[in-house]
Amino acid sequence: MPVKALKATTVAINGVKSFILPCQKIKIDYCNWGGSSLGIKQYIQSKKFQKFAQDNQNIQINLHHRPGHHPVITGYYANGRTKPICVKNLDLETIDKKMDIVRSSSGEILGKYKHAVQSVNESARGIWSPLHVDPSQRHKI
Amino acid sequence: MFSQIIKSGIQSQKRSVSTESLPKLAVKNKFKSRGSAFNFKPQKVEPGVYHQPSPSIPSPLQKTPNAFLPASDIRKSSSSEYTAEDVSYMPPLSSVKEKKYHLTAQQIEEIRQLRNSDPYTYTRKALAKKFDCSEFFVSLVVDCPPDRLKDMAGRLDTIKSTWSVRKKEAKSDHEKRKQNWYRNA
Amino acid sequence: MISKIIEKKLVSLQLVRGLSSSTARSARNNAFNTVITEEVATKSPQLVTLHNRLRLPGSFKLSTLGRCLTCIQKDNKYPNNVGLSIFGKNLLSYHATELLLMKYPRLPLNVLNNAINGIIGDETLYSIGKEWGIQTDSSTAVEKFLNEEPEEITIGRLRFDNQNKSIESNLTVIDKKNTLTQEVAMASAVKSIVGAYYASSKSLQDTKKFIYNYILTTRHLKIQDMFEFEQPTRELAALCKRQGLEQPVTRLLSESGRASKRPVFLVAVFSGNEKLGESFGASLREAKIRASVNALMNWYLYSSLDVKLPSDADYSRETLKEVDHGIVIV
Repeated sequence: MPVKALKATTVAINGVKSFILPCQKIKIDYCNWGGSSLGIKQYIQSKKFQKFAQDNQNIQINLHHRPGHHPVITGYYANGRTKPICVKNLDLETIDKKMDIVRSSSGEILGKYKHAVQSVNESARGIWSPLHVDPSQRHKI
Repeated sequence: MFSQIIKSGIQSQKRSVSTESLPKLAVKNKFKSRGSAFNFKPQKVEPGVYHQPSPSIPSPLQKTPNAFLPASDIRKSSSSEYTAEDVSYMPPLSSVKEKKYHLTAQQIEEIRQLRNSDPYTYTRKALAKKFDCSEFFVSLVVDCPPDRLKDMAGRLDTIKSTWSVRKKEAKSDHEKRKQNWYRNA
Repeated sequence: MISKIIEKKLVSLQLVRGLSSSTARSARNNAFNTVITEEVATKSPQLVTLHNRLRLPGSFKLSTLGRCLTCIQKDNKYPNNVGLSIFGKNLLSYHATELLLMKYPRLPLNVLNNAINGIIGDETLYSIGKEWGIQTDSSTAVEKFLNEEPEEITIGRLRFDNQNKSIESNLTVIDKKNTLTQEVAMASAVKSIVGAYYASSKSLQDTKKFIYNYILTTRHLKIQDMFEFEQPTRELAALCKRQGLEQPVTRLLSESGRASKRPVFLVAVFSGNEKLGESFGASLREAKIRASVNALMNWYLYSSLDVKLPSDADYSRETLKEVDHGIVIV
């Protein structure tokens, strides 16, 4: 066989044609005794939480009674990572915002993007080569 | 006094900034802000559609050469992108040799015999010169005798054994890079 | 024609595997003790969220989804996904092959096979399953009993006999008899979801849409990186001869720093006045080989402008313009 075939696998481009939310599961740890869990207990009983669960039926939400600990909201993501956020002594509004952060996160480590575009596609105009530039446009030394 | 200050203030606003008061560079240079190539002034162009091909090698996924397009494809054009004059300016790396097909069955048998009888004298190169054919053709006609092949491999091993660690690394790196020539990498 | 074949296959599959609406009959056919009932499946958070995540239609029952996650297992009381996964694999390979063949009609057979494997192979389907959020069940029966794990939690996970069982930390038992790797088990679940999609929606077009949206178009394959040529210059010469083109000539277009340590040569392969391929290299030999490789890639990766697939509604044989001549034999 003159042509040899090399192995390759596809890479996900989530959002093209279909989008699957990276956040798959949210675990809420709370304590029935500690004062730091007051806010989270109010949140769990509130209508905001009901609405959150209703709007995000693609996220599994686990309530976990963990006595003697501060309350923690943990997100589980498609890339296998988790994002735990401590919500001790926080009020209802702030916890709602934290839930939103966990829901919308991709699960990746936070970092700065060095390039404006990140793509798996080939560059539309190819790799620039000085030998292909129109001679009239070339930089003159 | 007040009016003087106001006057001088207005005057200083009106006056263009003098470069004389600014500190001078110790070393003189040839940079001219007006005449330099960095002073970019784009030409005015008429509105319309312009084709400006990218200064790069087109990707196989984006553009198929005209010769490789099937006749049914609407991108196929009857005329070539290049004229014969254009191509004449591009020097060929090797000339295309006309195939002669001049060797007879007898001569081919002779090549086989010579190669097998004394492979050290009748190397591929020597036979190609003798019979006026290419070395590739000799390799098609007859394989190298296994004894010589073994001997040459042994010689190569002795040469390789004298290589230093750095040379060995450099050679193996080159082999890896060479593999990429045959791929799109 | 093809849709009819698939429909026939499905009917026979239904008969064999008992995949019908009547759960009682399916239980009898399969001779399993219990089936996953819709009542229990509705309580399973994993199944409900997975159903919503994939935007599956209402006709796709949650109990069927639970069945998709049941691999062949030793002490398994539920019907397994073997039939569904075989059917799903057929659907997937049909659509992947069709897409690649119609998009790149000149693709060599071994590259085509590798590309199909890259799109719907176990390795790929495993990562797809993970992105879909399919959780694997790693707890033993004893652990389940001690934890009093409810049935709805168990059925929401991917259940299989794992080849690698970790007894303690840093201690794993590898048992290859009647077991599956996690990769294969996850792939079978993904395949059976595809199979079950057709079984419940009863529409090939909808299933095709699902496969394209969640497996084919939403992932990217670098097909241009899958080629390796042994003798590109000779292969190109053979190709030109076969296609009735003039013999290829390599010509120097441009160069820089010939006498320096880092020279660059830009070289193109011409057939007459037609340019076939172009590349650069640090030596003339490298540039020549790379240019021939580029020319061959230009040939093999030809794609027609209007690609119509046989499974499309408006497909006819007349729209098929380019038929492959086969690979070049050197």
